[in-house]
Amino acid sequence: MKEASRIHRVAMELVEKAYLARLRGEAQEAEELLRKASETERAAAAQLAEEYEAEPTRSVLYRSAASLAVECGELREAEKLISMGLAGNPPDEIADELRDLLEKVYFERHLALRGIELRQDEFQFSISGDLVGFGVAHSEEFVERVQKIETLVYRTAERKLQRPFRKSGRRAGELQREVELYVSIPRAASFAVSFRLGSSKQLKLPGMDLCEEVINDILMGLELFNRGEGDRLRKQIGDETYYTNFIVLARSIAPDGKNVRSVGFTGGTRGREKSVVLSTPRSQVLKVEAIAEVEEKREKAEVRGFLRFADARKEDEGLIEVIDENNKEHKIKVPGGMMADIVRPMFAYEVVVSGYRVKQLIMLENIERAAEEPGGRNSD
Amino acid sequence: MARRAGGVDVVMAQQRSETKQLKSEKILHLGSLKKGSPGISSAIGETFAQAAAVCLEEQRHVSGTEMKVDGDFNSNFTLFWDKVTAQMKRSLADLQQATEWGAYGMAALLVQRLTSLTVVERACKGTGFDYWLGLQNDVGSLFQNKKRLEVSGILKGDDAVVKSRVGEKLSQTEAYPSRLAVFVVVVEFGGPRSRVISK
Repeated sequence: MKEASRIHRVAMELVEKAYLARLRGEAQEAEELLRKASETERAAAAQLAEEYEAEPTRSVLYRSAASLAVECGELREAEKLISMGLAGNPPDEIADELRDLLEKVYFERHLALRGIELRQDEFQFSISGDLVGFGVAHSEEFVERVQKIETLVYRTAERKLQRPFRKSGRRAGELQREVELYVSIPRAASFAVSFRLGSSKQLKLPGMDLCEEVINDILMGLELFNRGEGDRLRKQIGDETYYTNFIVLARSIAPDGKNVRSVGFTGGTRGREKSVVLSTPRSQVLKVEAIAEVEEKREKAEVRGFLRFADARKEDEGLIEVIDENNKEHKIKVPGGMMADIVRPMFAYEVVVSGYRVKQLIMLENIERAAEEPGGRNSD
Repeated sequence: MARRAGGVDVVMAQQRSETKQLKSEKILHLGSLKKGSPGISSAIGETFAQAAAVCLEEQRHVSGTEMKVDGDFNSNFTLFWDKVTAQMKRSLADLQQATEWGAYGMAALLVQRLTSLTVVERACKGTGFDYWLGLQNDVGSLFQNKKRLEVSGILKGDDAVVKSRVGEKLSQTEAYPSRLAVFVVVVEFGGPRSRVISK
C-alpha cells in the first residue's frame, strides 16, 4: 500500500501540473504531463491488482487511471483498467462510476467511424443512454433530435449566406432544394446515422463549400456550447437572434442525462475527423439569459400548463399564453430566435416554461414538453 | 465489509454533539489555500483561491463580504481575498471552470474550519479531481476510512437552486445501500452562500 500511495501521489502532482499548464495555454506541455500521469497512475493501480480487500482504494485507483487514459485518448487501455477495477470488489458507487466510464469509452469508440468514410458534406450523429440499445433507440428521443438537427443545419446555412434571421414563413425554396438533408440507415454503434448535405454551385460561398462550412460551423458551435463558452459562441455566430436560436436548438439536442446520456457528432474526412460529445445534461448547459435590464428585479418563475396562444406579429419577440391546471393564464414573452423553431412545435402540448417574472409577464428562458404524469394530462 | 469511514464518523458525531460551534473567529481568507494541504498542493490551492476570488468579484462582491453557511452547520463567515488582477481574470476567463475550481477551494476551507477534517487525498474522475477527507495526519492508507468530498459550484442562483443541487448530490449517493461516507458542499457565489451536509 505504501508504494501504491507514493506512486499515486506522484501521478496526482503530474495531473495538477498538467491542469495548471492547460490554464496557462500550454497545451502541448499539458498533454505530455497528462500522458506521464496516466502511465504513473496505471503503475499505482497495478500495485494493488491482487489486493481485492483493499477497497475502496483499489477501485478508486483503477477508476482514476482509467479516467486519465480516456483523457489521453487511450480508449483500449481505459477499457482494460475499468475491467480490472470491476473485477475486484468495488463499493457500489465506485462500481457505477466505473460502468459510467466504460459507457463513455464505448461511446467514444462509436464516434470513430469504423469503416464508414464520411465525405466533406457528411456528419455522423450518435446517441447512447437508457433508452438506446445497440442499434435500437426510442423513436421519440431519436426523431425529435433529428428534427432539431435539420433545423440547425438550415439556420446555419441561412446565417452563412448572410441572410437575416427568418422569423416566420417557410425556408426559401432555393435553400430548401439546394441544402437538402439526407439521412443514412441507422448503424448499431450505440445508435448512429449519417447526414449528408447537398448544395448547388449557385449557393457556394467564394473559395469554400457551403455544406462543409455549415458542418464545421455546427461542430465548432456545439463544442463551445458544450464547454459553456457563451461569449465565444456569441462571437462566432455574430448575431443575437441566431445565437439565441443556436442555444435553444442545441439544448433540445443535448442529453437529458438518463434516457439519453451522450450525444455525439463526428465530421470531417478521414485523417481530419472532428468529434464533439455532448454529455452534460441539458438542465446544466448554457441557456438563453433573460433580458439584461431586468437583471436586478428578476424573480424566478416556472409554470406548467398547456400552450394555447401564440402571437408572433412583433419583429423582435413574440407572446404566448400558457394555461395551468387551475385555468390561470400566464403571459410569456418569447425572445427572438425561439418562436418559430422551438415554441411553435409545442403548440397545444403541455409544457414547462421557466424564466423570470417582470410585472405580469414571464420572460422566457426555457420551454420543454412536460413529462407525462400518471393519469396523463395531455390534451391530445 | 464495512464501507463507512469509521474514524471519520466518530469525529463527525462528536462535532455535531458539540452544538456545531465554530473553532475560532468567523473569518475565511481565501489566500490561506496557498498553504496547501496533504491533498491539495500549494500551486493548485492558489489557483482555487484565485478562481473563487474571480467568481466573487464577477458577482460584484468586494473582499470583506459575508457568506452565509447553512445545512448541517449554521454560521456566517467574512471572506477576504487578494486583489483580482487582469491576468487572473484572463487565465480564468472560462467562468464554468472558475466556478468549479473556486467552489473546490471554498469547500476545502469550510471543511477545515467547520470540522477537524481536511483534504488528504485526491484521485482523477472525469476531467477533474475527486477529493477525499481525513484527519490531518491520516495519510497512510489512501482512500480507506476516508470521507468523500462532493462539491458543486453555482455562479449565481437562489436558495432553491442551492437546495436542489444539494439534493442532486445526495440522491446520487443515497441510491446505494452501503454507501461511502460523504460530505456535500454547494457553494453559490452570488449570495454568497454555502450549504454543507455530512452523511
